[in-house]
Amino acid sequence: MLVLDKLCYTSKLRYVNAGEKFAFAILTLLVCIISRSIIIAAIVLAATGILTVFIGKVPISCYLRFMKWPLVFLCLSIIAIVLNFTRTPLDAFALPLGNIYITGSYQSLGLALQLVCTAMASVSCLYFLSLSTPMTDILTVFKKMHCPELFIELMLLIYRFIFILFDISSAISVSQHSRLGNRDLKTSCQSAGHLLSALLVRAFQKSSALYDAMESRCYSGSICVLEEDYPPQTKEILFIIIFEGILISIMLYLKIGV
Amino acid sequence: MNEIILKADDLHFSYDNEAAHSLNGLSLEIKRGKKIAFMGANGAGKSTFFLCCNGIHKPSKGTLYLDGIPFDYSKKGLLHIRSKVGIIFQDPDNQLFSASVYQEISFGILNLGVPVEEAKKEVEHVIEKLEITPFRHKPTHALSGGQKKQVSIADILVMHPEIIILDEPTAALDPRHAKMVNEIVDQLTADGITVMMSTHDVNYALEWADEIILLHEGKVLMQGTPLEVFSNPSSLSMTNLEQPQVLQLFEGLCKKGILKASLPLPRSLKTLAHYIETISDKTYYGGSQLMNHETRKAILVVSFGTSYEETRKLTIDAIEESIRREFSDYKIYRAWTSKMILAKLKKRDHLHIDNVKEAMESMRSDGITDVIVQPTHVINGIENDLMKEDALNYQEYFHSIRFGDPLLTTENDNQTVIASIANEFSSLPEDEVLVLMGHGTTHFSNAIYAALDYAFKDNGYENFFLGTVEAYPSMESLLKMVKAYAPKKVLLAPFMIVAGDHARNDMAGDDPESWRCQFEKEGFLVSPILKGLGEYPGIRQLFIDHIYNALS
Repeated sequence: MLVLDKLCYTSKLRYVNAGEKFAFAILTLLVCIISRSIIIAAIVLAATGILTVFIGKVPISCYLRFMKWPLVFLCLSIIAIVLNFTRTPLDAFALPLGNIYITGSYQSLGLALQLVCTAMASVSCLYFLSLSTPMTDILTVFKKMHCPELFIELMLLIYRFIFILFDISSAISVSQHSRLGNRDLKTSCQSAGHLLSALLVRAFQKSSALYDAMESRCYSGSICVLEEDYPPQTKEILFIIIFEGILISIMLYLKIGV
Repeated sequence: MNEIILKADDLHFSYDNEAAHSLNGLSLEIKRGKKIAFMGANGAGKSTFFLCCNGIHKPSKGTLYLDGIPFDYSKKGLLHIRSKVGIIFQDPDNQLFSASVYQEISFGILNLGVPVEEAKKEVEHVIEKLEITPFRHKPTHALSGGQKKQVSIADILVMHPEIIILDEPTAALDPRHAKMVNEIVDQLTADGITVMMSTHDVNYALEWADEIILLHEGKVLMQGTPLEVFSNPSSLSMTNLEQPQVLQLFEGLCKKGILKASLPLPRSLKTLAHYIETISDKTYYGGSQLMNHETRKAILVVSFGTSYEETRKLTIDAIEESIRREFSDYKIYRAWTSKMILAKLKKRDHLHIDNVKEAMESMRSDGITDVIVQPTHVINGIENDLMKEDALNYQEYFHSIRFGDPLLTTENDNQTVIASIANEFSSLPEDEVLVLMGHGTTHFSNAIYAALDYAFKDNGYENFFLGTVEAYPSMESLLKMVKAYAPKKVLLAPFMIVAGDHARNDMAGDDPESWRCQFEKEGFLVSPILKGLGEYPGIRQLFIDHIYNALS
């Protein structure tokens, strides 16, 4: 989480208009999901990968590590699709196990591959957004899209508090470790319990202090702040239109078979 | 415009129950444009008072006044108070709510209802002023402690308050960032903003503040200038504070006699360093009395003494009289060092004259604080050393004890003495000689007599001779030299402050061993002049110069 945050505000794509990045990510994501095409997924994976790693300058090792986690998760999930336990073997493969077979069909293998590709492409779209656009910029986009203010303000405060509470919890946990708070499983559990309860109390204290500080600056119920906007560039918009156009064309070609 | 910008009258505030009050009858007045440091132990009520000033807490009893108008706790009233009084919290993490620096800074000014375009300009201005530009695009959680503090100051500064409250602004900052924050605070005060700051840094408070308010158990224990507050040890210890190091060092240097307690108390190490740089090599002995005490000055004139009333009037009395005329704001005391003479006077005339110890004692009982001891001794001999020792036994009872030099100390003194004597005997024909009789001593400083004799000749006074009764140059040497000059007449004069026993007997007496008889025996025409050095105006002036020298 913290690495993700750090990478996003050091990304070279950070100062590109947030609306553009948001639109690019969401449109591409939608095309991926609607088309469910391996070809499109491959194009999207390549495009977002290039944008994030080569243009955004996120280290490739970090990017691959980020991609690894959903991949592992996906692989575990598709087992259910690929493996069948039947008495009759299917066409792709079959492993006899007593009088039943662990077996799979070409169709289910194809489906699994399609699913993995689509999912990874979708994830890469979201990674592109998270690795190039800080939370505050995304919130600005939400505001422009007329999301409810309460929702936006909550996200703003929660996002800020994640880091405050993370700092507190890491400090407490270090101090617990330094006093052998993780000596065995029992003490580790106890320590974790204490940490959580302390964190709860501290969260209340912090929020009350933050509220006082906001009040002292004339806070009256709604958070008004200035947005920092980076104007959209024509060539970037053109790129998005052309890219999405190509994707949609391919999708239409594949679906309708024009 | 009201001179008193903020006034608190008998404030009471309690966080939980009525039994334990965080503020307990706190009353104070803050003047516009001043730099005020709030100090006190943890839990003394500083932060609570600050929150009251901003309208976050409402006192259960008592009233706060802003510009002479009582606080109005309605929504509109609070908006007014908070637009005038800005508070910068100790922990920036309690203040920064947004992840974006820009958004964070814009929050306050937009809440004041400033139009967006104007707010943008103000935010940009404050970002530039506080040098936030290099990290303006970082999220707040990725900032260093110092940077967070800069942003939290910008948060408030952008609102243009008249009072800025800083709650321990340099707590948990490294020295470089602490210095930077202090520089920002200096900028604020230069812009005419009233700054109230709580701090435990006595050294900084001494240097920075116009006024210090010591809080203790929810009340004002003391309010005054930094020097007033920091020279009050009892209040400091009640509030768990220590005296600033610069004052401790200054006091130490005064006690050791390196610096003079009469110097204005230094507020910074820089000033103290300047004091030390400008120390003259004049020895000065400090007492152990505390500073900030009324000063009473005295000059103690220490002479060997004489039992001849006639010469005493002309010499010792005359010297004391000229000192009295010159230093009219000093009380003049007398002490004699010769035990024999003091005993003789007591026995013969029932006259008591103080010795050095007695004189120091009577100055002490007269409440004298600063003493200058001016000996009328001719040389820096044993008498002078013993006198210093006696006087310094009383060091602890005075702020300072300084010593003027005896008659012959520097080269300049020698020249002045030669000039005074030459002036007195300016009509001395070339075929006559003046033989001066000094006392002489076994102390190494005796060398001055021969040196002075040499200096007379060097200055062109070939017919001036100087010898001593008890040491070198003795009568033997003198006779040799005078014979070589072959004068028609020998004038004899004492080279001592008084024309007492030695002048009357050893010099001009009828004893065959007296200088007069010895010169007469050699066939010279001799004429003794019984005139002590104290009778020469030039010599008296030299003593006065020595006192000035000790003072400078």
